[in-house]
Amino acid sequence: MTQDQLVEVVKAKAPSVPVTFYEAKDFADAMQYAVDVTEKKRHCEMLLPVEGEQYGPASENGFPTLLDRFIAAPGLSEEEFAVLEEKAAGTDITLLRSGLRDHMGGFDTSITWAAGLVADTVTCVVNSNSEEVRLGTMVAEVSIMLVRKGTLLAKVEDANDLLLDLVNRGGASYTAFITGPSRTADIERVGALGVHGPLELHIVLLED
Amino acid sequence: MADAKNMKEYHGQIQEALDDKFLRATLDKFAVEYKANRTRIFEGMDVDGLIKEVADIKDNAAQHMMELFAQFKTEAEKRGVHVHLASTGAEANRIIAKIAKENNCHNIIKSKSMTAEEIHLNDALEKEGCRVVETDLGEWIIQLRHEGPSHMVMPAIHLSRYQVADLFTDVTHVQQDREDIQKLVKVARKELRSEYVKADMGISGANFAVAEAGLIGTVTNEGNLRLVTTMPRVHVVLAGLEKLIPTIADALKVLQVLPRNATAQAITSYITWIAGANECAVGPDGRKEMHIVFLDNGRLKIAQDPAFKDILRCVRCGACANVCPVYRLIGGHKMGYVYIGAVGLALTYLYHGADKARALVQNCIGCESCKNVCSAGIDLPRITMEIRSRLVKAEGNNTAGSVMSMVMKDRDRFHSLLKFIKFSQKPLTVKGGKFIRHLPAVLMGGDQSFRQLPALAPKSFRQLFKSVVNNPAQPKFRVAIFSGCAQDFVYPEQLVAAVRLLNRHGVHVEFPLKQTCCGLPLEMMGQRETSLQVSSQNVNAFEPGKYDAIITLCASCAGHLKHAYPDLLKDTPDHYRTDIFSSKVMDFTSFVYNKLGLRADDFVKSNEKVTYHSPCHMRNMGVTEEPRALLNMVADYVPATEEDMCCGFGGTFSVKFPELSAEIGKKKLKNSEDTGASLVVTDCPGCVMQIRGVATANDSSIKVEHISELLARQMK
Repeated sequence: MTQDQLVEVVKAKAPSVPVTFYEAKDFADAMQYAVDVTEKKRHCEMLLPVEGEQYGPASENGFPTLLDRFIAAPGLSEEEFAVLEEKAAGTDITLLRSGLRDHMGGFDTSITWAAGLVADTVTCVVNSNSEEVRLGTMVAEVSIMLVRKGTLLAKVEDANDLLLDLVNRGGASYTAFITGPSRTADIERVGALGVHGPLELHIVLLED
Repeated sequence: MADAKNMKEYHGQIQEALDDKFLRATLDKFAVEYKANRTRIFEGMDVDGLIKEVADIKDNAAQHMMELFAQFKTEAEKRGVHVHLASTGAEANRIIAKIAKENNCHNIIKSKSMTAEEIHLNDALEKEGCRVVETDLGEWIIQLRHEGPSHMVMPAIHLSRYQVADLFTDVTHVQQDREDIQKLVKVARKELRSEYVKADMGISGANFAVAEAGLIGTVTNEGNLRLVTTMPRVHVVLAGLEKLIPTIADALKVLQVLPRNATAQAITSYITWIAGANECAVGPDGRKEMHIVFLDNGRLKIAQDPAFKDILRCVRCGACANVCPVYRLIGGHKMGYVYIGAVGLALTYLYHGADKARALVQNCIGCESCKNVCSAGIDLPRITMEIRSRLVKAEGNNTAGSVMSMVMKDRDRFHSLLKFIKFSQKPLTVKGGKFIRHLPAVLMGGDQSFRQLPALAPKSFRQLFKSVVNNPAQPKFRVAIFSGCAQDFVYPEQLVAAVRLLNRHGVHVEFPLKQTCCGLPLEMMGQRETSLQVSSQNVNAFEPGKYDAIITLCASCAGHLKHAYPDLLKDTPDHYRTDIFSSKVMDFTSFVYNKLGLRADDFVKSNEKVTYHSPCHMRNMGVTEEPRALLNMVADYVPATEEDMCCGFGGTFSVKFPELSAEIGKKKLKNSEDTGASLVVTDCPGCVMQIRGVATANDSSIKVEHISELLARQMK
């Protein structure tokens, strides 16, 4: 299959995962998408409320919400982060690049790179050697994965070489195959999203 | 967890589960949905081929466990990990407690690990003063309730939303919504977040330990494992030695089956691959303190035991429970100690000992559904029978086993006894002499009143054969009949019908008189020695070279003769003869359809509405199309709901566990009745005995027949 055909597979399969799929015109458009998603969502729930702090109205789950909005973007290069800063300028969004351990109560959105995307299962292969990337993709309510079209693979088995490469670069490695949001069916086998990690997963496709 | 010391105690525990209405409804729904979802997710894939590949990968790994361990250790140490090997559960617990102590860890968070359950790790750490919190939602729920898992993949499947809501209300001191599962899940999201922040040690399990890269692979949906392995400064992995696998490619192959078979997902939300001590802001020098503890606990010895080694293929998908008719009735707490389902019966014996397993291993009906669904093709019923025979060998026989063996090992004595019963049963018969009236439970080993048991026939098939057979002068085929006990002595009319049909269509039929019980009931009772004796008698009673086929009308006998004999007799002088014998064994229905090639023209089609019960052992031989095709030729065939579900007979199982046999039998009867058919047709006298017995005891008007009777009646 060609890369374009694989994109069609992802498009067809994404909704049932569930994954929101977006084809960005360029990197700036991808950052604009992240800002838009963040501005449209309800304010992030604060899962570690501190007594005496000021919070917003309770969420649908009855938890306090944060007054500010946050996007964590670990793993973006200096130039990439600058584009995000430009797009977020003039909004009430605070950008984070590191120190996510101090934000374990929650933040709205994370932006991270996936090193590959398996079309058949809509699985992002994420180099998570950086602790910040791991926390970003788990603590955000909405996880946005950036993927280059050239890195699309057909089947999970095809990720063998990529995984081998990621684990054999010397030293320790932490690689994640991520397919949709955090989910459970542990109560009465009823599916529920966001049991520990993201409530939503978005994949933003970029040309090579 | 079922830890009954004896059968009486175990029956009490089973009754508790049978009375749990929520559990029954949940597991019923699950059993039906799982089968449909599994079929859907494997569509278009070569499932058997994949299962074979997984079996080969795991077999190869199990035979090289210590080499893989050495390779893994080298690779992991290169990446800054401490690798340990514990020979027992107690030693693993000591190692992990020591790691906690040396690193001054008090708050421990865990992601799901069956191996940790196996060695009761939480108890051991709590004794050392540590606080241990499970973070997988289901595990957290059962930890708060002080219970063990009731399913390997869905540990809290036995609980309702109301039970969970009340539990969460207690834990949070806030009244929780009792209906909305989405909100209940968010309670865990919030409550557990502070645990990740507080913890100084994280413990996880592993689905794969990949030797070529010192790599741990885990398969999860919730993502708690990613936080457990990221937030605390210390990470301990606990893995059974059987999780070692040579390459990443091998792991990816297993991944094609595991999530599909476990939860009917193409892939789970998170597959996490960790090699080495990763970046950790709060760890020493900004790195994680990482330990991997491999557990032996008998695995190395199992790998060298030809009868048990296949169990190390298990990838913990839990499918063997999902399809088990017994699990469906009583759930995991009563069908397992720590490990549950069919594999749980075996693993309880192997990892937790005979004491915990003695009663449990009796609770397999022998339907082989687990074998057919297993991710790695493990023959679990065979392993369970092996355990029963080892228990008998080690601990001696109970009364039932001794009597059975004594009677069966000598064919003349067995058949004389049956003759004696036939003459003396008369005062006990009812309904025109066809059934035995209900006998006191104490005589039957349990209350058998759920079904009306048949009386022995006035004349056995061996007595009738000569007067019935009418062999053609120029036969198309020559066959011998293996009757099995039920048709020889209880239902000879089923064989008589078959002989008539075969003769009419040019088949020469013989009935070698020295044949006896096939031995399956003896295997079910752990009577290996006698089972081998009767098997040898049977193989020597036939001249297999003389026949085109050895035909049997009992699905259970057929399966046993065809698939178990070659293995059972492989180390005896009969092995060569056995291979020929077994290769000639064929069920009647396949013979009629495939060999004789009978078609609609050979029968008169009636308007009678009939439904079918597919005997487990017919399905296991791959015979599914033939009986249905034949039914369509002779009657108005209406498929029943769950036609492929066990009838609950299971031979000696129905005597040992009448309460379970009754429930499965009643469901079968109801599904058959719901079709509106006046007749249930099947291919096995055992199934006839069960379904007809349950129908009669419940005053149902539905008739039950062997397919041979219907075919003979409708032949032109």
